[in-house]
Amino acid sequence: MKQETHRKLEQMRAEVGRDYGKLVQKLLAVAFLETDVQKLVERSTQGIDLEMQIAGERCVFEVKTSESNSIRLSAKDFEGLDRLVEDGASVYIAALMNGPLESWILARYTPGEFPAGKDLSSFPFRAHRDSDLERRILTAFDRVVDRDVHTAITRRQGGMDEVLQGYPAWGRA
Amino acid sequence: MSGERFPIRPVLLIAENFRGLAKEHSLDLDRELTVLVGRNGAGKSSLLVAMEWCLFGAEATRKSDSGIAERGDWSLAYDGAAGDVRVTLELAVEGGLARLTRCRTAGGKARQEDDLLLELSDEEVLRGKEVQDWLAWNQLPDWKAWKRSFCQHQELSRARVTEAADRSTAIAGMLGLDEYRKVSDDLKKLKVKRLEQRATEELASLQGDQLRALERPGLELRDLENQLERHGVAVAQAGEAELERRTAALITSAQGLAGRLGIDDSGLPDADGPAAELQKWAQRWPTEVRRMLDVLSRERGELAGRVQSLGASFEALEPARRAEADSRNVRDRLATELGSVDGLRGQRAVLAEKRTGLEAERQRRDALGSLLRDAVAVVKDAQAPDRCPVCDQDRSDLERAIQAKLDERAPDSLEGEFADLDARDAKLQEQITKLEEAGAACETNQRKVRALEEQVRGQLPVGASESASIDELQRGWQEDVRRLGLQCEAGEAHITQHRGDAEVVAILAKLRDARARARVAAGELTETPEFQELQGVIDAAAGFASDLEALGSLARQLEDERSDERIASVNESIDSYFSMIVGASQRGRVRVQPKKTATKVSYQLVDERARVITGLMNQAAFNALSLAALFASAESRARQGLPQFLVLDDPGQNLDDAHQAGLASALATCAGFAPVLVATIPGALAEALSKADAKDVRTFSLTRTDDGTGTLVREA
Repeated sequence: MKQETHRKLEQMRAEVGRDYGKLVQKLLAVAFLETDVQKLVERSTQGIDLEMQIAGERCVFEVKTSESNSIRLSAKDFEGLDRLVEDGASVYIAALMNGPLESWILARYTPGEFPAGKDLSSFPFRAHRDSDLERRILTAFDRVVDRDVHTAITRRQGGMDEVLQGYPAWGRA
Repeated sequence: MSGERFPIRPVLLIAENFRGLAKEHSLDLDRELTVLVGRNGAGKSSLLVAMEWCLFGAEATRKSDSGIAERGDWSLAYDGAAGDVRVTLELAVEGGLARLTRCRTAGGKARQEDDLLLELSDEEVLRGKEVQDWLAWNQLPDWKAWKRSFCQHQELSRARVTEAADRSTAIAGMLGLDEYRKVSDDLKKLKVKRLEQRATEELASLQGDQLRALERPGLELRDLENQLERHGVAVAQAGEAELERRTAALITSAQGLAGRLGIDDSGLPDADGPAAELQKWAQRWPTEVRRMLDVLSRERGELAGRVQSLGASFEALEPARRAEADSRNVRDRLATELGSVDGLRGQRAVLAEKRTGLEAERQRRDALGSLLRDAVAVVKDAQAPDRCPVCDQDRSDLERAIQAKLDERAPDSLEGEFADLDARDAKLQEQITKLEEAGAACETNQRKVRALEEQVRGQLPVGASESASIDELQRGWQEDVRRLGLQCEAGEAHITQHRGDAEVVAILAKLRDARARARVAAGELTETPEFQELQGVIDAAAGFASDLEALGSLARQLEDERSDERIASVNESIDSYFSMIVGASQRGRVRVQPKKTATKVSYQLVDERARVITGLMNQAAFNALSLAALFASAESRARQGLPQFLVLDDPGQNLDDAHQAGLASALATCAGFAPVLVATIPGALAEALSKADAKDVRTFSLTRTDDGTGTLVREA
């Protein structure tokens, strides 16, 4: 991720406060929509933030952003993710730590790999990262932030929803 | 852990110059139970330890490696022995015998590598590391396993039941979980969590470094902008266009100056060329101009010197010319007044001729006088003194006439003429001298003028016309000097101006580079190959840590499953040996209790009420439990087909006669599974062992030789 992207995200964090996580999730969704995902849906159920079809495969993402350098997943998060695995979905944890050189880590989730309720650095997720998938969205995410961060800051979630609606593959749950 | 392997076992021990054993001692170990009986100092322990040294070398003898404090000051060689220390252990292996020999040369130091040799039955010989690999491949114990399951040292007898780690490892061995335990322990040593923590810290540190690296171009930019401001260049304008404008102006100015100074301007860069090239040029150029100005100044100085010299020569020439003219005038005036030197010389020649005539007259008169004086004499001598005999004239008249004649012709009358001639000749000579001196002075002055003229001509440029006016030449040169002076002054002014401009260009060029670097650092750092590589390394470390975690979990899981399967038989074995030693009344008292956590399985020895049994025991029971654990471990390994033999040094300590009898039974039982070598002092245990129900027993008696230099080993 470019430094400019980080700078803009930090600016957004300073201005939007608690909305930051949700707005980053929407920016990530736009970035996915700018790649070749067939359908992308935003959800708000436990363990799912984004669900999309990539090359015919059902992929679900739990998006986690951090104000520090660690994230925490609750037992309920894991229960939701475990169910999705049982249902045959490819489950990912999308983690973005707060650091100028941090970038998205899209880690494929396997039940039992991560402890619940503990602060986790990016390290344990690295062992499971899907580099191909990360490469697909990296450039798009820089571009989307550069273009849409102003909308996110000034018009918050409503503005970002309008941006998302502009993509044919986007749909609300 | 295969049960198919041939159980390797020792059959012969030969020790030479080892500790208390002078010379060579051998001990057959080819029985199930070998008993060494001897009093204190007979050499029993030396023989047992010789086997350890042969197998493990320095590890068994150093304090730090062995874990046995009293071995820190060990002397390996027999006191006073001059030869090598050598121990050979003959092992029964599948298909024959193998001879393992360790040797330390006489005087060898403890830190020195011992010679280790293994002679196999097929005559193959292995050395050093190959031997250690062979021992490991054939599952002979390492030092830790030896301490835990093969030997009973007085120093370490209780650790296997009192130390948690040793106890758990020992019991895991009884349960046949050595490998899992080893994996589990190794993983624990690897400290996966610490690896993660370390990697995270390293990553944070690297990111900190990278952030500082990111700050550097920014600081550099600010510094350069400040420098520009000090030159009066607005930072806002200090962009590419400003750089190019200033550079173009400076280069045009430089070209003009180069033309005036005669500097080769082919090295001047393009205004829009690379920043580094501009910087280099801007730094180099003032020096180049300065060099050329120095050349000009030197030329100006030389020319001024020549002008001055020419002026001086010219000033010297004028008086010489005047002197020459004056002398010429004097010469000409004298010539007019006195005539030529030749005319005067002609007059002198005439006077000389006249003098010659006078000289002749003088000679003629002198001759006549002489004649007349002769005549007078004749007259005087005549007979007739009054009369001339010749002319008969009166002698007095005659004498008067003659005297008158003589007086008339006297030379003195010519002297006046001679004096006149001399005066006239001297005057002529004086006039000649004057004329000649005037001529000579004239010539001298002419020569002087010619010399000075020659000197002036020598200062003229080659090819300059001699007819050219020296004044004109001098004026031209003075003009040149003035022009060169102006050129130098202009050059100095240019340098001063250029220096300021060049500095601005250099700063602008640096600014351009710094901006480029800052852009790369700020925007593209995470896309550099180095950053990608770093990410890859950390990902790999994370993958490794994850694999280790998984492996550890698997090992724990397998250990857990297998321990459940086998724990009953181990309980039976350890309880059986314990009750054999301490008495049947204690049967059913000891059992193994696993304690499982998320990360490990440990084992405790508890009583029938699940109380930690070591907390309830007296000294004898402690020893008995330790020995029971050892026998159970040996039996377990033997049942798994692993190489196993037991070496016990005085195991009967703290045991009363009844317990020692029980120990003898336990040893005999254990010997049925694995060969046992036991050393003891004469007494209850020795007697009990001699009566023990073992099928294959051999007892040796050890005594010191009479001279105290060694040990006698005799089969009892």
